[in-house]
Amino acid sequence: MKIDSQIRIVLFCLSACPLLFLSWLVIKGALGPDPAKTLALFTGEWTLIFLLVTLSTSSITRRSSRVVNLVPYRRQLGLWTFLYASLHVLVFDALYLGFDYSLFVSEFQERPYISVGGVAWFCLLLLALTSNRRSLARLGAVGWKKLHRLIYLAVVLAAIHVIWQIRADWLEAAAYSLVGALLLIERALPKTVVFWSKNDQPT
Amino acid sequence: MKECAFDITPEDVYLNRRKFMQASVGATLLSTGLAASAGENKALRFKSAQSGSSFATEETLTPFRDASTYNNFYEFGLDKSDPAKLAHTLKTKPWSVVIEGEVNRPGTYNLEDILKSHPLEERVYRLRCVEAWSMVIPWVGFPLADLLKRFEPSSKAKYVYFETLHDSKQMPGQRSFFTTLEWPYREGLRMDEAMHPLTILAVGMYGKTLPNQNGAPLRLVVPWKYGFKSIKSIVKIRLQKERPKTSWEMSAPQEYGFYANVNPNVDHPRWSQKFERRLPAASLFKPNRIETQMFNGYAEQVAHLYKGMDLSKFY
Repeated sequence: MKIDSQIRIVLFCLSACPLLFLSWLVIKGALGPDPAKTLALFTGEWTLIFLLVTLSTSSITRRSSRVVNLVPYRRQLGLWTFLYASLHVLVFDALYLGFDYSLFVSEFQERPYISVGGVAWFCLLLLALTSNRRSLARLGAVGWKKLHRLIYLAVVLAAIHVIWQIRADWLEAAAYSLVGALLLIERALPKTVVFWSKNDQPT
Repeated sequence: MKECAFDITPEDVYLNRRKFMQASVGATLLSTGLAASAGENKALRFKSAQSGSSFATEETLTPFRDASTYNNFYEFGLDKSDPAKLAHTLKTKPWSVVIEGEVNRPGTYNLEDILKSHPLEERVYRLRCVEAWSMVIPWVGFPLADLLKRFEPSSKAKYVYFETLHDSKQMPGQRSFFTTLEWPYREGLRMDEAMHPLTILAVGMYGKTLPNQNGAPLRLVVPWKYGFKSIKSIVKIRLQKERPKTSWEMSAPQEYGFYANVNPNVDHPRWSQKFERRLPAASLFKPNRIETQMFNGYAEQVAHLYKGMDLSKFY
């Protein structure tokens, strides 16, 4: 087996860990007295983590002059992001709103942090739907790239979604926003700025 | 200091707790055991509540384990499970309470001396958190009015101000750099709210002294207001002319007002207050979502206090 597919499998197993842990908590009935809230927080936090990890793959590849090439794993990480985000949305719709459509509409209209989160999820949906090779061929490399810049919007909207919910503690919101901002700023830096180049030789 | 049953943690309980904490790294969502075992707290003598009265709802009680492991007490951390894990550092004995301001008998009083003249009674109240979850808790305490009367408020006393202990050595949450709350935690009531028979000072719940995470040794319980009004671990009570600034009001005045009455018609800017999740959930897919009642179901007793007030303005 090629090292590449081995990495993919390891990545898959690692990415599934939060989900397995969560399933174990559900089966054990160990989500605490307010399982809806526990699930919403858990899936939300992991969505943020996966979103940042996905975004960092091309940054690391670029700044290491492709010595570390993570681009081949970007799609899998992106799909995991979408999975955790979708679970997060499902928990909100099912457990908070009880699939009450009118309540859903009013929450979406009246609470900007929910609408912002909803739009972010929609961005991720578009990215997930067009993550296959066929879409790449259909859209063309340029079009596909353009569309997939939606991830920048998703990152920013997710940050707003989190910042808008700060109550007593701003650590998590600040940490996410800081890393997200750094990864976006990185994209504006000249390509010559690298922390690792192929020419780096010990002297 | 004299040891009493209240301070002692039997070694095996302590060891089990340690073991649990080690095992729960990464699994902090589990709500097992911990400081919650009721055995650690002293049984109280009190008059049982008459069921069916406004002093005792007949709704199903929230299990002690949930009420004592799912807490908002930011002095001990921001996770609901943090207070149960960390509040053991709070030293509730000896404990004194400063009573000051517009009273004829101000002073610093030992808690035991304060409690001596108050027969304890049980109150089974709904507790509605501003975060849209709720519990039903059997408190043990006495009316705040009885205490205030003893210290003889003057005619200038229009408001009661309360303060929680401020000691970052005992309360690790107060050392956090990332919180928007200013310490000490502050709360307040209008005089008529404070004198209302539903308003109590609690020293216990479920028949025993309060666990630290629930606000030992002395806390306020105002059942028709959002939970954050029911200030914990009180060290200061001041009667005053002006309306005090409360902690949440200071932190986010557009979201938390002085009154904070439970009101399904006035949403929190960021979420609806029309419904609440009565804890614990029956199961994952049955979150026990129920409609929130005006004044948390105590409208008959307290609505007259707010007659003529625009409650969407005085939230």
